[in-house]
Amino acid sequence: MEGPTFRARELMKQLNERPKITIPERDYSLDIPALIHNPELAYLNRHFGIVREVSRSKAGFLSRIKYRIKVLVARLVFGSLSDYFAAQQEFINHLVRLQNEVARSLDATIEQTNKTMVGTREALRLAEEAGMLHRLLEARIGKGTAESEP
Amino acid sequence: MRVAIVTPQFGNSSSEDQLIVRRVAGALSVEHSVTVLHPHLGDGPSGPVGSLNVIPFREEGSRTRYAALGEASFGGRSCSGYCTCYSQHAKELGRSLPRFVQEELARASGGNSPDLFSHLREVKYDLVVFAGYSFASTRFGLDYVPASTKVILLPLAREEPLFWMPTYDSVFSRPDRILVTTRTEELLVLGRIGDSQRERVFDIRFVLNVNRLAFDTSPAGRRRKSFVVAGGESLDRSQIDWLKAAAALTFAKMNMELVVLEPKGRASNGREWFEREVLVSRSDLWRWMTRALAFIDPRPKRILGREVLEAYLLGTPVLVSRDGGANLEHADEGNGGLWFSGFNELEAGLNLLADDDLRGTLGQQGREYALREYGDSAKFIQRVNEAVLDKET
Repeated sequence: MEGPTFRARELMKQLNERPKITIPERDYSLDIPALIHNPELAYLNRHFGIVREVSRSKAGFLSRIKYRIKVLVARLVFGSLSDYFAAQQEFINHLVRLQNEVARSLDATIEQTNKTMVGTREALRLAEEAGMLHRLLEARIGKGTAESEP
Repeated sequence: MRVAIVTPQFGNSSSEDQLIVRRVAGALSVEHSVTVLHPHLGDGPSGPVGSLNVIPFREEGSRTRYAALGEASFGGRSCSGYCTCYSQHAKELGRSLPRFVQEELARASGGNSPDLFSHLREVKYDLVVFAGYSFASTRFGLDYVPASTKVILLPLAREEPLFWMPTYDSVFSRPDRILVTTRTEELLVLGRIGDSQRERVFDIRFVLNVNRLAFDTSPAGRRRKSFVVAGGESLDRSQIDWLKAAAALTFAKMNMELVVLEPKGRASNGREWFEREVLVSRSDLWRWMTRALAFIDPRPKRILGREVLEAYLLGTPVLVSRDGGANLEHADEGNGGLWFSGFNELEAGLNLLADDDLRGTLGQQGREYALREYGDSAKFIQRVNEAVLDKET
């Protein structure tokens, strides 16, 4: 009869030859400043509106003429393409909201990862401690038994 | 042939011990007239139950007394599934107890019923089967059986201090046959009665079945791949820490989770870290087994290893405690799983079982083993009856 493909005893031998897990010496927590306070994000939040006003030029006749022409052209452009600019503004609004959401989500993920790392280290420490206490207990019981034997 | 089965309990088939008693009673009733005698008057079955006739009797004594004596003698509950110190020193613990404490423990362990003992003396049975070596119904009931009556012992033995107490010597010396269900139990019994009496011990194996419909009904709301842990109600603090650490290291990188199963009515509180699921039925357990990457059973000293065999029958590999008794035997001989005795082995085992091919092959090998050794009702009935009738097995 053909034997099993995997023998449990051989797998156990292979498993016990693996290097033992130990508590990492280093703290692997991610030290990244919160993205929600990033100055670039703050800039985006302050300047996401499309500028519709024409800035005033210096004093002087020619400058006044140039300013009036610019205002007329701006009215013409924004007036005739009002639907287009409204859609663009809406698009930018969504984009900035998404950026804020991404920043918040990333910050929460980093915080969660750091908590998990702390938890894992703590769990490993507890496991090691439990193992050590167990060995001590077994040694004490073994010693007691040996002493009580005739 | 008139057969009596003396058992301290009869009815709860979710317990391994009781399931073994019921199946043996069923197997014997195929060829003989079987009467089950139990000391639970008013609290257990009575009259005809299937092919059996059940007679209840009044019990004396209380479990509280047994618990108090146990607490005084052994310091309360046994060690966890990860711990082997208890079983290593069980023999010394059991033998070192004063004789009167041993007698008191045996008397208080359940099944102390003078009415039942009188019945055994007055009614002529051809064969009396005693279930559970440690119970008063066996320890004291044996003295009431006429010397000409054949006696069979179904020891339901596990490595524990009680097993080694000299007060039970007669329980192992009087019976004509001792029926065991696994190789682990056989070795344990032989360790007590001596290898020279090998011919008195019969391995009747067992028979188990699962409902394959469990494959078609999914546990509600499950999406991720899970390792399923049995016996959540009996996990202690150190077991939780080990599982927690192993799972954190293994599952974080594999998008897997750990689900701890707890029986209905015995679910514990305050283990918020685990995914906890309360089992409402046996089918519910099978459903979880069918969906599990592997079935983890950290419970120690199993007599039959029922859940491991059921997981095998559903093609699921297992990870069991090295101190798991029959569980370890099934993992080793069935080549359907791994075992662990500490955190490092547990973590390495989980990592190894994350491999799809390995899991598939182990599951298949386990299934073949369970079907071959524990899947044939006709063979089981034949083995039980042959063991009882002195035929060669």
